Formats: sequence, structure tokens, C-alpha cells
Amino acid sequence: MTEADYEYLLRTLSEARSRASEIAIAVRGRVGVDHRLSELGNSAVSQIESVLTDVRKVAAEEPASWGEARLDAGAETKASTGALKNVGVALDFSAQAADIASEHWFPAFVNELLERYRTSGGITFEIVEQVLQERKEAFAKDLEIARRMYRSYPHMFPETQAQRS
Amino acid sequence: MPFDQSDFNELTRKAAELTLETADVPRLLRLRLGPDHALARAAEEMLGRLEAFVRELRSFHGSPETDQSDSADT
Repeated sequence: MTEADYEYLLRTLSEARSRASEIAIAVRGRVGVDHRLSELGNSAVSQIESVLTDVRKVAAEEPASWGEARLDAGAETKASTGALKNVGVALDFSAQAADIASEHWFPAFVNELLERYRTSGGITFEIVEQVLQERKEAFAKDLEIARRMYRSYPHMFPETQAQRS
Repeated sequence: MPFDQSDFNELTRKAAELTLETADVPRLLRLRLGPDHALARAAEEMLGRLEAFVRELRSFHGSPETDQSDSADT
């Protein structure tokens, strides 16, 4: 798979997880926890989460040389003249990616806690810490993929380049 | 709390829209990894669960339970 594939999958699945959680929680609030609709909603959210986790794992196992391979394939000239500039842009982008991602992980985090609280009838500090740690790790992986995406496909981030110029 | 049918219809619409927009995920994974890959199968399962959820939401609309749910414990 290409980096663009991973970028698409992670974005789509992450958004799907948030939206499905919201819908499932709203439905559960209307029909009750024990209703079949609630079970189906929980089941769908859980499977989205599972696929998202698996895609992150596969993406993390991909060679870190994606960007370099593409540069070798025909962009040496650009790389030699713009290497230092690209490093600077990538660092700036990582900060922006953190801002963008931070808009998404928090509601997903809260939704997951609510999900666990409602399904198990309670929650502990340990579970909250564990969920937060999982979110942090997932965020770090997504950020790394975003960095690699930027290095490989800078033309896909025209607004970032415009800010730099 | 009274059961709000229009609110429920909106949730069903959102779930159907989400299912439609997520349908490309298993397609892409099948294409890239092959239909037998575990990740492709997991994504098919994901889509199946979303479709089942939407089907149940739609059938719930017309069921007697919908009318009785004014007394739902919400």
C-alpha cells in the first residue's frame, strides 16, 4: 500500500470511529443499554476501532524509507536544492498536524471512556490511564505518518507551502 | 422522556451516510492486500456491522416498539 492509501484509511477510519460513537451513544440514550440497537451500535464502533488499530500497526511496519525511495526515483535535483528548507517545513507541519489531530483525539477519547463506563457500569483510574496511553501512542504514530506524507507529497499541502513563502 | 421520531430518523440518516462513506475502506484493502488478507476481512466485517446497525435502525422505525418507547428509560 502507498502512503496515500494509509493517509486515506487512517483519516476515514478515525472520523468513522468518532461519528459512529456519537450515533451509538445517542441511540443508546434513546432505547436503553440493553436494547439490540445498542448492542449493534457498540459492535460497529468496536469493529471500526479494531480495523483502525490494525491499519496503524501495518502502517508502522512499513519501511521508513518511503520518502527517500521516491526521491531516488526522480527528485534528486529538488531534494538537493530544497533539503534544508524541507526539513524546516516538515517541522512546522508537525506542529500543525499536532493542532489538527488534537481536535480529533479528545472527543474520541471522551467517547471511548463513556462507552466503557456505560457498557461495564463503571470505570477505574487505571482504565482511564490505559485508554489515554493508547490514544497517545496512536497519535504519535499518526503524526509520524503525517510527517512522512508531507515529505513524500508536499504538493498535497499547498496551504503550508503558502504560509512558508 | 418522550421518544422523538424525527431525532431518531436523523440518527438513522447519519448512520446510513457513515456506512456509505466507509464502504471504500474494505474495497481499497481488498484491492491492495487481496480478499483473504485478515485486514481486508476485518474491514468487510466492519462494514457488515455498520449495515446491520442501519438495517435495524430502519426496521425499528416501523416497529410497534417505536410507538411504545415513549416510556423508554432514557
